[in-house]
Amino acid sequence: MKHLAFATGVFVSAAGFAAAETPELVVYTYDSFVSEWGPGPQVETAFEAVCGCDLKFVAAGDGAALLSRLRLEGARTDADIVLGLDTNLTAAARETGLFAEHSVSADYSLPFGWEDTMFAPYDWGYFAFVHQAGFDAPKGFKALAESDAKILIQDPRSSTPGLGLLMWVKAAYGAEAPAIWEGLADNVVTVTKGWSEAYGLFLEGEADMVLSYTTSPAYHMIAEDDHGKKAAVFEEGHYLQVEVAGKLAGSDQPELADQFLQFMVSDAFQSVIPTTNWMYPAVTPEAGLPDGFESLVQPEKALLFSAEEAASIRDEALEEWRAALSQ
Amino acid sequence: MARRAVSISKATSAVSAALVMLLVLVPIGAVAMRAGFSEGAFAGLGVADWAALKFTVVQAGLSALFSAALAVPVARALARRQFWGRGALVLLMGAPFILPVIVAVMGLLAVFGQAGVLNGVLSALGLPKLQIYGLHGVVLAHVFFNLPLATRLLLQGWDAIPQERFRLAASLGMGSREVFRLLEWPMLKERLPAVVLVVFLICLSSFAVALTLGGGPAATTLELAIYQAFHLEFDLAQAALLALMQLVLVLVVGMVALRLGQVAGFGAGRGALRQRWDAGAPLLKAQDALVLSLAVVFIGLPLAVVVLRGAVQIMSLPASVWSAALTSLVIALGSTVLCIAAALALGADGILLGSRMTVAEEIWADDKYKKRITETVESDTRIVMSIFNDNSRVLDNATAKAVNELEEQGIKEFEQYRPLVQGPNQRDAYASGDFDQGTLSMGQSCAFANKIASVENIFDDILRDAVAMRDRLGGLAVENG
Repeated sequence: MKHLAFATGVFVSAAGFAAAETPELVVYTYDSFVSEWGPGPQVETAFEAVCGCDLKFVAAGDGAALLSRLRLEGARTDADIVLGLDTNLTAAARETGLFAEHSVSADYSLPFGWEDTMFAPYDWGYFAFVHQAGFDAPKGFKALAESDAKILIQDPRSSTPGLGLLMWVKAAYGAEAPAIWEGLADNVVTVTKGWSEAYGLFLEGEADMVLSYTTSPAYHMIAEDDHGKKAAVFEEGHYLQVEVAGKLAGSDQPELADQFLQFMVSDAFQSVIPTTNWMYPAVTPEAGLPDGFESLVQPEKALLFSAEEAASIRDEALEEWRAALSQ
Repeated sequence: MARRAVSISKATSAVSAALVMLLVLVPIGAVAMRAGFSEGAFAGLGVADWAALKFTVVQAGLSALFSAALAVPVARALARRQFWGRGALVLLMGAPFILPVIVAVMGLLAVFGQAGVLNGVLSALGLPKLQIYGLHGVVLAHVFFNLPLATRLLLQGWDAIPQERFRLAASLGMGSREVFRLLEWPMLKERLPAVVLVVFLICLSSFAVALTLGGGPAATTLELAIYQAFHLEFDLAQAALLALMQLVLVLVVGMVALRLGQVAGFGAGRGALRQRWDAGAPLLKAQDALVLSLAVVFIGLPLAVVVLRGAVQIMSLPASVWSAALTSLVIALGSTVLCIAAALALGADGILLGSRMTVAEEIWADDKYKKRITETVESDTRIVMSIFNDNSRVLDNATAKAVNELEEQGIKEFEQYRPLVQGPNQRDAYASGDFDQGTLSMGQSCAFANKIASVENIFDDILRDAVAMRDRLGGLAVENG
């Protein structure tokens, strides 16, 4: 037994020694970011080449689950960085008091100027309904409600795009939103738990359109050489999703965390985003966007609530949505 | 006919029961504590929560009733038929349950969806399309998942009816209807409530299936409401309250099921496929064939779609998928071991005691017969009726030898055997003590029965032997510390 204790002691001190030598940066993010085909693996290689550290991604469900986990762990969390919240979540994230201000500066290519000093953006996209080429897509929510086009959407209670659609309708129609939802009720084939279920059903031919992003057709073009998917442009404008990262105030590697956030808006990180996360990079890479992206539709009007507005109208918008679609 | 008296101490089972309760209650308690229960954090339940409760109960109830009701004819057909591929079919029955939910839903939609096989056929015939989304879609999907499970559970019920009962029914000339009334229905009355309960509990926590096929937020289950309270609103008090509601629901339904279904009264049986003499009519054969074909199509078609698609892609899966699969396997195996250990500690044990008891003073059989048993050794038995896949170990007597001779000649008509094996023969043998008459069921444990004694004394002997055995094996255990 003594031998075992001795061996364990040696092992622990060796591990401690190694850790002192290579600092570890822990980044909490959502599942698809770290998957084989997501940005994670390339980002890890690129950052470790410059930081002399060990970058460790910890996957925790989706954006909302990420925030829940952080709230449960509180100040004891191992995370140095949280990457993968969006503007619907940042108000609640700020309220936890767990985050620190960042020092990132960049020449963003977002449709809006970026002023948040606590969270820095790494990519963005427009929500849009995706359909097969050749389908005569409605030009807006009212036209959609009057048509007999069938749509698949995600549940705002469990899915980020689902919540984005709620904000989209609210941003475009304000107090008129409940009437719009009542008009859409007979167009909605079903509501799914997450994006992948809805998109899967769409590819099965269960509906004419699915809620996704204007960049989704680029995936089919570049990864599958399929030019048959299009995004419909709505005249009300398109709601934005901006994905952000923030630094934990209690991080034991604050300099490394700052270094990572600045790296996040650099070319090495940003050039990976378009063909792994299938979103627009927050800073256009020097080499420009990959071929295929130029053919994507460009909405004329971008809609976005501030984080505070989004947080304050969420519950009301959710209840309107639920009431209109529950009948 | 084993002789496996396994005594489990009350302390072990009490500890195990307490552990199970702890595992259920502690997480809810922890969430409630974290939420500050004492501050009266309950905001109360909104309209949406009550709607979720109602939908949860309705969909789980309907799914459970349909699954169990449809499982009866399927399990009955499986229980009384032997055909090529029967084993494979029973195995296939396990597949829907272990498929990832979304994969199974895609398979179902390939059959029942807008662009599915069924609607393809309907529009080719000029008929209107069927809409799968709604409560009926949710129930359909749950039946797809749980009909196979319910069938397998009921099949175990059929296997638990001792073969001797069917043999007796046949020798009394009972038809399929009487066999159902006297043998199968009593078994179903005991088993069905438990089957309904199991399916109900599984459907209770349905989330993605209910939402996807339910067609909108009206198909919100409690599980989704809990998810929302936790992930979207981070309202831990609400999440704990909803979880408690779900737990109460489980307990209420569980208690009703326990009241309705009593412990199976047939005792343990042997799971071998049995010869059934009551189901030979062509009409019954056709009926069973139809039932089984429908079940195969309903379960097999969506699975076939999934397999056909998956087979193309399985070789191109990245390494991470394989390592994820390994993780799942390790966790599942670990959980299974824990579950079995807990169930055993809770007192789950099976024992079938037959021949050992035939020498009890309380048994009405003639003493000449009992005395013969006390003189037997293990090799004084022989197996008959193998030709009907109905192996029985019986006392090695003149009748048993005659039956074996018929079997060796390859005779397959039961009528030729009937005079030798029919039920009344055995009854006469027990009454008269003429142990050369009839096929007298006898396990190898007859070797342990070496004196005629009271039931009480026999049990004392068995327990004394068992304790001695336990202590002897206990000596093999390595002391800790």
